[in-house]
Order: sequence, then structure tokens, then C-alpha cells
Amino acid sequence: MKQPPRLATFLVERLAPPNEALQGDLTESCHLGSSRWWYWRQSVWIIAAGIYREIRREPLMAVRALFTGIGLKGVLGYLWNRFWFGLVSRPAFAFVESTWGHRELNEPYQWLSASAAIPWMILFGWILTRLYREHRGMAVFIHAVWVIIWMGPRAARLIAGADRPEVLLNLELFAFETTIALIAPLIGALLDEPVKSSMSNKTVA
Amino acid sequence: MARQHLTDFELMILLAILRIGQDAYGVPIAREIEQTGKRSVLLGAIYTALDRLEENGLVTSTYGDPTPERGGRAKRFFKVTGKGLKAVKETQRAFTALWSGIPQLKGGTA
Repeated sequence: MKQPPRLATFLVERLAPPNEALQGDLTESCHLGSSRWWYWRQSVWIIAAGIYREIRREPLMAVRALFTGIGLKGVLGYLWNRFWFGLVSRPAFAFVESTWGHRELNEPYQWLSASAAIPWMILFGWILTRLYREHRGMAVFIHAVWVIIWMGPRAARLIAGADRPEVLLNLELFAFETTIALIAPLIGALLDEPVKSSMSNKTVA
Repeated sequence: MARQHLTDFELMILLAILRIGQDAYGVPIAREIEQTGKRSVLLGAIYTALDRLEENGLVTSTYGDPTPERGGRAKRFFKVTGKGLKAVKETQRAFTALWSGIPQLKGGTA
């Protein structure tokens, strides 16, 4: 008996709207001989179409999720910045301050500072998921779209000046920060347990 | 407001359910459309259409018992309602009327 790909099942269970019957059909088809490629193709479609359908059916909830995400990220970002800059302003980290204005010396700190955002970004994704458990795929997707729109103008400015070395470093850091802003919340969303679809919840809107 | 006409995919699904009978759930519906209708389908797309058909009162669904080969998940069985049957007949009538009198379609395959 063929086993369904674990990663695809993991992603469907967490990012697609809960649908026990559909997930059961996927598993059964796999046991009946469908290929891994078939399973992956179905899974990607189920997640993408599920998110699209949720946004279409409940646009107000999508807007609420967007503003909740922006607010939550603002609060967590503020707390994190207070902690991080409080930490590096201590005497033990005085060497960091001495590197200001020396790009090559300050570069490792810049990368460390950008990497240090990973934990709170994961926390952000996890909290957002706890607030929108059954719609987490939609909430994380809406947030990703917002990140791309928000970062777009800055990306365009940096790309336009990428021939200058100092801008190139900024562009690399920016690409890294954007990747974190997109991937870390998704990891946070995947950390939470999947929601079981209720059989009595089969009614349609 | 619910739509009054069926899309070709919705029609295929309703016909597949009618052909299968009592045991109409996702897997056999997909198989029926693929084998008889010669059309590749995605399970997710079938459920999207089925949910829409249920919203419009053309099908009803009930859950069966969870089974091990489905990872302990239940089957969702679908049944065409009287309204659904009427919609199928109406679509068939419309298609038949449109089909008739087209000289290019007479006399076997095109």
C-alpha cells in the first residue's frame, strides 16, 4: 500500500481549510496507486484554491486578518527593537557602536541583527495562527501579500542603485529580511497543530 | 442569488453522482469523470463544485464512518436532489435543442 507524501499531507492539514472528506479521498487515492506527483499536484491546488475561496467568501475576515497581522507585527516589532537595541547599547557590546561608519566592520552586525528577527517573526506567525486557526493559510497568505506590497517600493529603489557597492549590501540585507518576513511567519503557522474538521460543520455558507 | 444554469463541470459531476448511485463520494466521482468523461480532474476542484452545488440545493451530503485506508477519515457521500435532477434535465433539453439543426454535426464525427 502506497503511503502519501508526509510533507504534502502536513501542509494540507495546516494550510488548507479543514476538510476531512477531501483529505481522506487524497489518502485513499494514494493507497489505490496514485503517484506522489499526483498527490503533490492535488495538495498544492487544495491549498491555493482553499485560500482563494476563503478570501472570496469572507472578505471581511481577510481584511480583519490583515489589520490584526499589521498591528500584531507592529507591537512585536516594537518590543523586539527595544530589547535588541537595549542589548547592543550595553557596554559589553560597545564594539558594535565603534563600527558605525565602517561598513566592512559593521556588516556582520547588520546580518546578525537581521537574523535575530527570525524568532519573533516565527512567534508572530504562531500568534496569528492561534487567532485564525481554521483560516491560517489565508491569514499567512494575506500577510505575505502585504509584505510584498510594503517592501515593493524599497526593493525598486535598491535594485535601481544596485551598481553601487553600498547599495548592493543593502539590497542583499533587504532580500534576506524580506525572505525572513515571508518564511518565518509561515513556519510559525506550521508549528501549530492542525484543526480537525467537524462533521456537523459540513453546512455551506 | 443562486445561478439557474449549470457549468459543464457541474453537469459532469451531477451525472457522475447519478451514474454511481449510493456510493458517490470524492474518489469514485473523480474516477467516473476521468474514465467516462475522459477529462482529468482535481479532487479539490470537485469539492469546490460540490460545495457550490450543495449551496444551491442541487446535491445533499452525508458523512460515512472513518476507515483505515483513508487515514481514519470519513467519506462524504453525495446525492442529487430533485432540484438537481431537474437542473440536469433542463440542461440536457437546452443542449439537445442547441444541437439540433446544425449541419456540421450531422453524419458522424467531425
